Amino acid sequence: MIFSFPLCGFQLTFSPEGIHAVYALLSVFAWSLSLSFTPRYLLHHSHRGRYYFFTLLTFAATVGVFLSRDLLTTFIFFEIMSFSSFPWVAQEESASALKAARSYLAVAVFGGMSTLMGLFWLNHLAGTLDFEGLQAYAESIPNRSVLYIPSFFAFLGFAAKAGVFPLHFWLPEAHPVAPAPASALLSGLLTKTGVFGMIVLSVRFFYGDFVWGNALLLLAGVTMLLGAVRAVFSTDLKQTLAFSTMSQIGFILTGLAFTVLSGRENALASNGTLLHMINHTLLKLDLFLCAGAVYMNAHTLNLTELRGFGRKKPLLHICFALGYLGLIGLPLFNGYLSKSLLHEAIVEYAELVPAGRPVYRLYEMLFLFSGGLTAAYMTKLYLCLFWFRNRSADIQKKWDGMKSYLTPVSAAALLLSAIVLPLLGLFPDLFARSLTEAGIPFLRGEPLSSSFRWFSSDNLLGAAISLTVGAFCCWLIHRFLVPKGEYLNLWPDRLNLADRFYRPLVKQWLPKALFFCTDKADTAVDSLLAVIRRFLQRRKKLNSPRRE
Amino acid sequence: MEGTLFLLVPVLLPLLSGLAVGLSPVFRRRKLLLQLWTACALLLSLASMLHAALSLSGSSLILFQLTERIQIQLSMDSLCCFFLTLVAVLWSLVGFYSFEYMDHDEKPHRFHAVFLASLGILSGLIMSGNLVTLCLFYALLPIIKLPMVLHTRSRESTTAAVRLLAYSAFGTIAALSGVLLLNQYCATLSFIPGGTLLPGAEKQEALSWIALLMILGFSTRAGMFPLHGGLTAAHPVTPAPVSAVLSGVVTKMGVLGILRTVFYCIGADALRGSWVQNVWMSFSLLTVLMGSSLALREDVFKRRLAYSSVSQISYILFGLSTLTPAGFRGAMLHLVFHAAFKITIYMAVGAIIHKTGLTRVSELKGLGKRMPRVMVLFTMVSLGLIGIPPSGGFVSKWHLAAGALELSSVFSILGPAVLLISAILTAAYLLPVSVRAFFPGSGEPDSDLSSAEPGPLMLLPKLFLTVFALLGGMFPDRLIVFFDSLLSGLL
Repeated sequence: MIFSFPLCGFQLTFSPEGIHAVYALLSVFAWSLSLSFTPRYLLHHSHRGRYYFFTLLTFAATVGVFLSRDLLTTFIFFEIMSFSSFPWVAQEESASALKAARSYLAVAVFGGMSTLMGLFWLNHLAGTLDFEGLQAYAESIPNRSVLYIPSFFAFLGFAAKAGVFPLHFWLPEAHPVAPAPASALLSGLLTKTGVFGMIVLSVRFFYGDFVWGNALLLLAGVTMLLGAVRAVFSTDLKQTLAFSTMSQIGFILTGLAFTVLSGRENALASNGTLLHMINHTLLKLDLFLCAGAVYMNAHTLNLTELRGFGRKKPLLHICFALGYLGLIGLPLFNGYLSKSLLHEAIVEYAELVPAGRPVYRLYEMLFLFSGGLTAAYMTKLYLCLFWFRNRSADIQKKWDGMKSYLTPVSAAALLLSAIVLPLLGLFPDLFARSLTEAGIPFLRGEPLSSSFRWFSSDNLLGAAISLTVGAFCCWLIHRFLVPKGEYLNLWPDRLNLADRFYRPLVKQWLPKALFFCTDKADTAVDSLLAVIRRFLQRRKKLNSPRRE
Repeated sequence: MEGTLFLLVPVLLPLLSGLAVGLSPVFRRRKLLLQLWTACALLLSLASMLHAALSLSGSSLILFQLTERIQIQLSMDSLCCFFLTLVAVLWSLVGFYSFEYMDHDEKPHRFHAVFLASLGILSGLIMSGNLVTLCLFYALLPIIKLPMVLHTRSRESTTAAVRLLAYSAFGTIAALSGVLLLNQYCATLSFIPGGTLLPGAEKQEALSWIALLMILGFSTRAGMFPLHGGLTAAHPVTPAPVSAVLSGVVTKMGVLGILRTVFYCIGADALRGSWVQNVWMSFSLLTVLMGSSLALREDVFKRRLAYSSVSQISYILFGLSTLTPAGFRGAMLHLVFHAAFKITIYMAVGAIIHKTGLTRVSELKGLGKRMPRVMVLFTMVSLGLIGIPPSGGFVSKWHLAAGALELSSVFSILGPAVLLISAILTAAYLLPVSVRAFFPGSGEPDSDLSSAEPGPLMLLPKLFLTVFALLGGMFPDRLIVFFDSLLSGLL
C-alpha cells in the first residue's frame, strides 16, 4: 500500500506498513504521554505556547520521516523535524541551553546539507530515491564501491542526528537542557529517525558488504563504549541518561553492522536491532519522564543534591525501577531480549568467519563490557535516587516531605510509560516477536526461527557476565567517584571534542581559511585598479617634473 | 513606427509620471498628493505591464531604424512575459511598502520620482527585441540608479556612487562592444530561441572571446566575480526599499542580459564544452563561495545582505552556465524565489531600521519580542533562502545540482558541493539573527521592550511575498511546466 502526495515538485510516497506503522504508532504513543506530562512540567515557565507549537510540528515531521518510503520524503521531513525541534533545546534560554542550541542547529544544518549532497548524487546515479528502486539499482551494478562516497555523505546527516561518534558531541549537550518531556522525545524518537536513515542506506546498498559493515561496526563500538564511559563519569541525572542514549545507539548500530555483515543469515542481528530500537524508545521515554518528575520538584539535576530524592515515593520508584531493570538487561525485563539477540548475532557471525574470529570475539567482550557499564551507571542513578540518604539531613527532610509531586494526569502518563516495559519483557513471544516480525522486512532480515529460545543458557550466561561486570564497576564507582555521598566530576575537561576541536574549527580555523581566500578575490579588481592608478600617477610625476 | 503601440505604455507611463513627480513643485509640498499620485501611477503601470505580459505575447513594435540591421525594437516573447510579470508585481509591492518607510524622509518626492522612472526603464529593458535596444536601456539604468544611491547624501554614498559608475561604465562598454563584434557572426541581432549564429561561425575562436566579454559585461549588474564591486558598494547605502528592488529585481536584469546573449543570440550549443563555459562556471562558483563567506564577516546588516545577494545571484548564473535543461530550470526557479526571499528580507531589515534605528546584526538581540511578526516572516524566508525543505530554495537547489551532475567535467561534483557549502554559510549568517532575536537568553534584562511592530503597509507586502514563496516552493509544478516550455526552444 502506497500513499503519495505532491510537494516541492516531487511525488512524496508513504507506506503505512511494517516498521513504518510500528514507529508511527510509537511516535503517537510517546507524544501523547509527553504532552500529557508537559502541563505540570511547564507550570511555572514562560513561552509555553512556543513549546506546544513546535512540539506538534515536530510530531508531524517525525511521523512523516517514519512513514516515508523514499529517501527524498525522508529527507524533507527530516529537515523540517531538525529545525522544528530546535526551540525545544533553546526553550530554557539559559547560557548552557543556548550553547547547546547553537551546536544543535549547526549540526542540523551541516548534517542536512551533507545528506542532501548524498541524495543529489544517489539520485543522479540511480535515477530514483525510492527504497525499492535503490535496492534494485544496487543489485544491478557490478561494482558497489561507486556507492561508498555518496552513501557516506547521506549517512553523515543521519548519523549526526542519531548521535554516532564523532558527530555525537551535540547530543549530551542538547538532551539534558531541553525540558524533560522533550528530552524523552529527542532521545527516544528523534535519534531513531537517524537510525531509520542509516538502516535504509546500509541494508539497501550494502547488504553483505564487508567494508561498509565493518566501518559501521567500528563507529558502533566507539559510540557504545564512549557513551557508556561518559555516563559512568557524569554527575548530572539527565546528562547520564543522554550519554546512555548515545551508548544505546551504539548497541543498535552494532546490530545494524551485523545485519549488513551477515547478509542472508541475519535473523538474529536484524531482529535484535529492531527490538533494541523499540526497547530503547520505550525505556528512554520512561526514564526521561522520571527525570522530569525529579527536576520539576527538586529544580536540580546534580546527583549530590538529588541523593535520596526518591525515597518514600513509591510511584516514582516503581516507574524508574522498571526502566532501570529494562535498560541493564536483567532477564525477564525487555532490554534483556534485544541484548541477547545482539549478543547471539555477534557470536554467530564470529563462528561464520574463521579468519576474523579473534576480532569479533574481542568485539563480543567490548559488547559485554559496555553492557556492564550500562548496568553500573544505571545502578548508580538508582541507588542515588532511591536508596541512599542525602548527606544533609535538612535536604533529606525536604525530599521526604514532597508528597504531591505529580498531578494525576502526569502520574498516569508516567505509569503508562513504565507499565509497557515488563509486558514486553515477560511475554516475548506475544509482543516482541510480533513487533519484530512486522518490521523485519525493512531491514531485509529473516524472521526469528520458531526454535529460538529467549531464555537459553547461552543468553542467560551473557546477561550474567554483563551484570557481574556491572556490579564490579558499580562498586568501583562508589569506591572512587562517590566518596562520602558526593558525586565527583573526575572527567578531565580537556577531553571534550566539541570544545577542543569542533568549536575552534567552526569559529576560527575555517573562517580564517575562507576569509583569506575570498578576501583576495573580493578585492582583486580594486587592487588591480589601485596598482594601475599608482603606476599612472608615477608616470605623470616623471613627465611633469617642473611642478615639484 | 509599426507594430503594437500599446507596448510603449509600460515604458512611458511610469517614466513620465516619475518625471512629473520630479519636476513639478506641487509634489514637494503636498505629501498626500504625492502618495496618491505615486500609488495611482504604480497601479496603472502594474495593470499595463500585466496586460502586455498576459495578452500581447508575440507582438512587437519597431520604434526606429538606425541601419537595416540595427533597429530599436520592443517585442514580447514568453521570457519577456515572465520577467515583466515578476518585475511588475515585485515593484508595486515594494512601492507600497516604501510609503511607510519614507514617512520620516525629508525629500520623498525625489525618491518616488526615481522609483517610478526606473520602472519604465526596466520595462523597456525587458521588452527589448534585440541586443542593441537591450544595451540602450542597459546604459540608462545606472543613470537612474545614481540618485537612489546618492539619496542619503553621505560621504559613504558618494564613494559608492563613484564605484558604481565605474563598474557600470565598464559593463556597458563591454556589453556594447560585444554586440558590435557579434554583429558579423549572427544572422540578426533579434532574439531567436536557440541563437542566430551564421553557419560555421561557432568554430571561430573570436566568438568565444566575444561571449566572455558580453557575459562579463552583463555580470557587472548581476554581481559576478570579478566585477561584483559595484553591487556590493551600492546596495548597502541606498534606502531599504531601493536596496530591496536593486537586489531582488535590478540584479536580475544582468541575468536577463546573459540569458538573451547566450540562449537567444549565440546559442547554447556554440558554448557547450568550450573554455568559456568553464571560465563562466568557475567564476560563478567562486562568487557563490566568496559572497556567502564574506557576508558572514559583515556586521552591518545591509552589507551582509549585499554580499548575500552576490552569492545568490551567482547560483542563478551557475545554473545557466551548465547549459543543461535541469540547470536552466533551477536557475529560473532560483531567480523567482531569490527575488521573493531577498525582497522580503530587505523589507524586514527596512522595518527594523525604520522602527528602531538598529543597523547592526549584533544589536538585534531580543528583537523577536518587540517585532514578532517581522521576525517570524524574516525567519521563514531565511530558512527558504538557505534551502530548507519544503521551501523554494530547496527546490531550486535540487534542480541546479541535478543540472550540474549532468556535466561530465569536474564541475559535476564541485558544483553541488559549492552550492551546499554556501548553503551552510548562508545558514551561518542568517540564522543567528533569528536565534538571537527570539532566544535572547535570560541573563541580561532588555532595556527596551516596547512593541515596534510596523504598520500594515510595511507588513502586508512581506506577508504576501512570504506566502507566495512558501506556496511556490511547495507546489512549484506550474512554474516548472512554464520554464520547460521556455526551454524547449533553447536547449
